Amino acid sequence: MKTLRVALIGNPNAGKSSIFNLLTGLRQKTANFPGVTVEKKTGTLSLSGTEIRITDLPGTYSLFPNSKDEKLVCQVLCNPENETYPDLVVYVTDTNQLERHLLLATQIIDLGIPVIIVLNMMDVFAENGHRLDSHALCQFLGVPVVGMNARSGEGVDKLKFEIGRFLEEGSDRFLRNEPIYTFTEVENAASQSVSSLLPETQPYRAKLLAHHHKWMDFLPVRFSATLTPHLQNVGFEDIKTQIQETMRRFAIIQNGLRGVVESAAARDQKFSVALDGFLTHRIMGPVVFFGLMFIIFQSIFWLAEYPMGWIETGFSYLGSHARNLLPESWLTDLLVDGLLAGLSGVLVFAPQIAILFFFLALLEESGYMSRVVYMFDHVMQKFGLNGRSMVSLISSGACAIPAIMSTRTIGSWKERLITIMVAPLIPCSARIPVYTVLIALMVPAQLSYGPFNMQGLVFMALYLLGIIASLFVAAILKWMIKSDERSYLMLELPSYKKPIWSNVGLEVWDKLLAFVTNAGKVIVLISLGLWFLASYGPGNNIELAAQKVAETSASQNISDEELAISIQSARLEASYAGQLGKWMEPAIAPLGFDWKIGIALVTSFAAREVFVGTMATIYSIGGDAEESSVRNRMAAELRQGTNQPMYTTATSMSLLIFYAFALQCMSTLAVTRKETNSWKWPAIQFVVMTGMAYLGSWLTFHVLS
Amino acid sequence: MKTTILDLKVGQNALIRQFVDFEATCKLLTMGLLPNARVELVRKAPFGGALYIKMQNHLIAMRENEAASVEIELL
Repeated sequence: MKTLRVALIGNPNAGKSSIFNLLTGLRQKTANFPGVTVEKKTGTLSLSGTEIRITDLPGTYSLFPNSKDEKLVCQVLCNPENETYPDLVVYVTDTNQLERHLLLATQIIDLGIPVIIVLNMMDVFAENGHRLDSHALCQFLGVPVVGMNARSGEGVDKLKFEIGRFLEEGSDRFLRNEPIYTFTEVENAASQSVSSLLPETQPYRAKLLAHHHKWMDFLPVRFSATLTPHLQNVGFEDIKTQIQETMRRFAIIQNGLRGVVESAAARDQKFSVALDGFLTHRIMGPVVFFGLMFIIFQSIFWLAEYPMGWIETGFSYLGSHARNLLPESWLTDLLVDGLLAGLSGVLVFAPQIAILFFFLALLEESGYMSRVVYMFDHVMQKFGLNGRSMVSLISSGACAIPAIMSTRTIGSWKERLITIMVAPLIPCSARIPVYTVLIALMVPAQLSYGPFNMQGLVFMALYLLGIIASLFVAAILKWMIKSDERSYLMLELPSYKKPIWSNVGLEVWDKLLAFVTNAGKVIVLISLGLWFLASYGPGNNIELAAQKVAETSASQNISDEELAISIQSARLEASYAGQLGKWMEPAIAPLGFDWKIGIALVTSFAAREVFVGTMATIYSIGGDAEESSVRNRMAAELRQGTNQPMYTTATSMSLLIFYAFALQCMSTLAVTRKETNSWKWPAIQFVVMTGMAYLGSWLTFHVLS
Repeated sequence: MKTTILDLKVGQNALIRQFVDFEATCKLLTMGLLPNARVELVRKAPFGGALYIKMQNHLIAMRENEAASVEIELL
């Protein structure tokens, strides 16, 4: 059975994703385009026995790209060998801004790719009193036109019907007979120069290759070098021709829409402009923004508390039942202490992550995020960043990985790079459990100043520290990295909309699934490995150590319980994990850490959230990973060879500072490597952040103790 | 000195005449800033540096240096 490849294309804010969600529902997945971390959303739809694979391409204004996203769309459409090259394009427009949105549509039609035009947001269009003759539009463009309203789902059947006709009748109806745009003499010569080197290249595709041959990576080797003199001979100037083509296309579109669209007096912007009078106000704008951020991050803790409790209870219930049901063996230990403890450590974050992504999706869907970019652009530029960096840095509060991926909308390489480098310094959700446990050790829960809970204040202080550190590092990088490249703001401020809840829901689901599967794999592997390392040691060292403790304490007068604890501790010390911790103890002793913390530092390199699980495993193999009990055990821990508690304010604070700065996240390094396309930047990121962590902890420990 | 978008006062309207800056032109065009299009300066960003512009059918934000590259005729 043949599958049909359909690509959804359109300008940003045209409502492409809503239509994608309408067509595919939950039958979608997010992956990356091969070699680049541009998100690739694909989904399937089944129509009269044929499987249709739908790809949602990133929002694009034209085939003269300005960002990494737009370049990708251009690469896909210019290369019929590309695995995403569509058999059919569903081109989504915002009917209210048809003229502008048709620019890219006419380019795709001229590429000789079958197209269906979707006129989205017809409801708003009609409400504003505009009228449109879709038959005349269809005649002008030469391809089928479908009116839709993605918000209510109206028109989706008509779209499916047209796709069905494509399957049955073939591509003829969906192709225009002749190009909309006719070449000038120079353009014609340039197009032919390309065709002479690459036979059978479609004329408009050849012209686009004449513009973009320098960065299109699918072209043959030395193609660019061979082509350049040809283009010079015919007098082809890249930018000048781009401007000419764009202006001429707009002229053709304006002309073609005459008599097709009847515009009433514009009034649809009124609401957004009025609301922005408040939301982007000189004083109220920033106040509202910081207020919103405060409320969002507060409510994450407040709302997530209950589901997190259920997950923990569920897992400890599961664990104790598994222990009762299964025979006592190493396999049971592995299952309960290794696998279940590890899984619970991951899933317990799911509520916080879901809530954070819910709010982020809401800010994005409503159109507010663009206002944030606009308001803070100037401030961010002082730190070598772009207004768009705000979106990434806010997302970094959830997780640095999607944050780093979202930097691809930043056109300037320098600003994009700095954003990538500093994003991991913003406290992400993985730091939350580490902070929670350590703060609870240090600050009594009942301590408060007026209405402010002291634990909460320390929490906020750590967040502020992360934000200040990231801006500080950004400023240094701005001064160090030299670049002549220009940076732009030029940003569309979409009109405010009520969010489409199914879009928000699918976005949260998508992110949550990615977190649980990706982070889950790492954490489960680590906790299995750690369980093994902590339970076994070289030769019979563990048994010898346990025997020795039993013998020496036989002469002393201690309870069975105390004996069990010291045996356990001796066994851990003799295990592989203990050896590893002991080996690195000299390096971390100046920070106030012992070998047990050393083990946690090593395992949290994979991901910070492993810390709590590691502590649970270390302080009692066989216990459950519930945070409060981990905290109790840590509080009871004594510094080896003394009667002093291990977790004094100095040690806890030093550890907090370490986790605030250190880059303990393999996935972040991997995504930085991918996005910067070199090992240099992740290496710098790792060295600098670890250095900051070490110095910061050292200072903290020495000042406090 | 030619008048550009940067010279607009809040609430003032103008028609776009031409573009000074070759490099930025492509970007401006795809955002709908075409010759003869009508622009209105709605407000300036809280911390300065950026402008909030109203076009016939949509709203855009641009930096001051981007605004300085668009010549206009006041209405």
